[in-house]
Amino acid sequence: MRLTLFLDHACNFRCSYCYNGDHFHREMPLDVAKRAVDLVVDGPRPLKQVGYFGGEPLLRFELLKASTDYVRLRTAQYPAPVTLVVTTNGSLLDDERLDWLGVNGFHVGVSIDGTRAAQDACRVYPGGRSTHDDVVAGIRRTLEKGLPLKTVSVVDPANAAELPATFRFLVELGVRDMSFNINYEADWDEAARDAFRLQFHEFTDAYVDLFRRGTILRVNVLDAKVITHLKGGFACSDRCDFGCEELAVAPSGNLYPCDRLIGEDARPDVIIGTVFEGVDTAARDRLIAAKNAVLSECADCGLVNRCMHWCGCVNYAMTGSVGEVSGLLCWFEQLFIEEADRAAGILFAEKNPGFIKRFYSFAL
Amino acid sequence: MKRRPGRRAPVPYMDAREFLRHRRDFLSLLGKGALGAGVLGLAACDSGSGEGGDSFQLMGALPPPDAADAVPDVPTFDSSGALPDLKDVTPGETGWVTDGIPSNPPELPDLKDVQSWEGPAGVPPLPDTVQLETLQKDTCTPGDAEGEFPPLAGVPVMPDTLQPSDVVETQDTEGEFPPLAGGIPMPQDVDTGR
Repeated sequence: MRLTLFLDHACNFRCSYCYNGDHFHREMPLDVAKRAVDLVVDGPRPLKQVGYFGGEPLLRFELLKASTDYVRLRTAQYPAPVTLVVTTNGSLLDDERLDWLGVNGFHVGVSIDGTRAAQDACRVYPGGRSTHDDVVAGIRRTLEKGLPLKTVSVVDPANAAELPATFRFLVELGVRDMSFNINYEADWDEAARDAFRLQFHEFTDAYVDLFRRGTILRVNVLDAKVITHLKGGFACSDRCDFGCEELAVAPSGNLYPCDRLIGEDARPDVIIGTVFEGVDTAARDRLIAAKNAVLSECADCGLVNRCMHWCGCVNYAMTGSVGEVSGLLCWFEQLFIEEADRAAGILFAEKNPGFIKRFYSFAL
Repeated sequence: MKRRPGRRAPVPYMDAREFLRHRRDFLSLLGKGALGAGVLGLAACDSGSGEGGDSFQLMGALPPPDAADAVPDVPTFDSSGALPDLKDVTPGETGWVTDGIPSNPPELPDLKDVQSWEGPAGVPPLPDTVQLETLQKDTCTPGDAEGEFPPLAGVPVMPDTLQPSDVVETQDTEGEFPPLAGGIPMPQDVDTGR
């Protein structure tokens, strides 16, 4: 079971696209965090991962530490340690916090939109001041200390023009594992989509070029489509577990099937219980059934097995229903498949060693 | 914006099963680098797996390929034999590629230059069979093989309507970052079966 604790709605950034509410202060009491850990540890499936999210979770560093201590206490008899992950905006990654995270074996996810222009387009401090220098410094410190790091970049019409430059910037910064998440709630009109297609083509060229230079990367939007070709589609275990293998906990103690659904914690239709009463399996299963109903809608698509149509959170954000797929998602997914296949076709034809190592290592 | 069903187009690279059939072609290429002897040995070992106990005697010297193992120099990718589009090559001013092709294509990196490549000592044994996670069903249902959360206080017990488990237990794969809050789910790499 993967547990995500949403430590606080508060954040020191004011990102224009943030889906996590208005950054009001609602801190998770330690008791709620402990009850969430208890719920899973005493539940049917072992606790495998704890993720901290928000808001900005490092604003509640003492809570994060106390919660982690409790996780250790409750899982002391586990044969393997629980995986620990924190998703942060990167501005508070100072030496003290990083040393503690390193000692405790954390994986660090840092949200950064890329170049200064990309970052400043959406991810700013209150009042509009740039966050770029602080975040880049945090990433550099994290890499210097050797903590596992992955970046998350939100692609919005306001920063999409920077996408290829952002990719190169992150690689030059030393990042090798990066996730580019489309802001599906933004206004991607025809002009924005046309521009994005060109930018993404250049982005894909840069991906090919880096493999040619001997750099092995993990880039979610392209890798996912290559892997789904190799495997014949997303496996069931690749899809979000939506309350079965994954639980997200709001500061109030409300349970959600995914961290992306918490928002302002005011969506009763996607709440599946509380840490005080337990998991409402009937509510959870209704959501899962609605999510799975998407397949009949997409049955006539030849790319259905390689598409993210099953992501209830993305569907909810775009259509207000976990089970209704937006045409915009269709458009992006088809573009990603097209570009991933183009890049992979080139690298495969060249028998690029890094590409073979990255994707075909099962056979080597 | 309406959904537009996509069409399945020819994919210009091998899927996992095709690659396994053509593996030797790639192993011989990769064998030019530091992995040479080890990888060739593994290939030989694989060719003999299940056939007897002489596999390791073939280390470094592949047996003559039989017809089933014969691999062309350049693999074909689909029934039409189409290769990736290599036309419209234009030099890139910045040194980055244009249309996927660099103006002065660099030589393929030597194996030792590839980051995170493992040396011979790190080469894992070749599994007898590779377990591919393949989407077999149109829908995924939650598994409850390990049990279910207890019913909520004050709520009538609901009948168990879940289907038998088809959720594959996930495995930690070396090098993969765990799922990240706020991120989009990523498919796991092809399962090595190890």
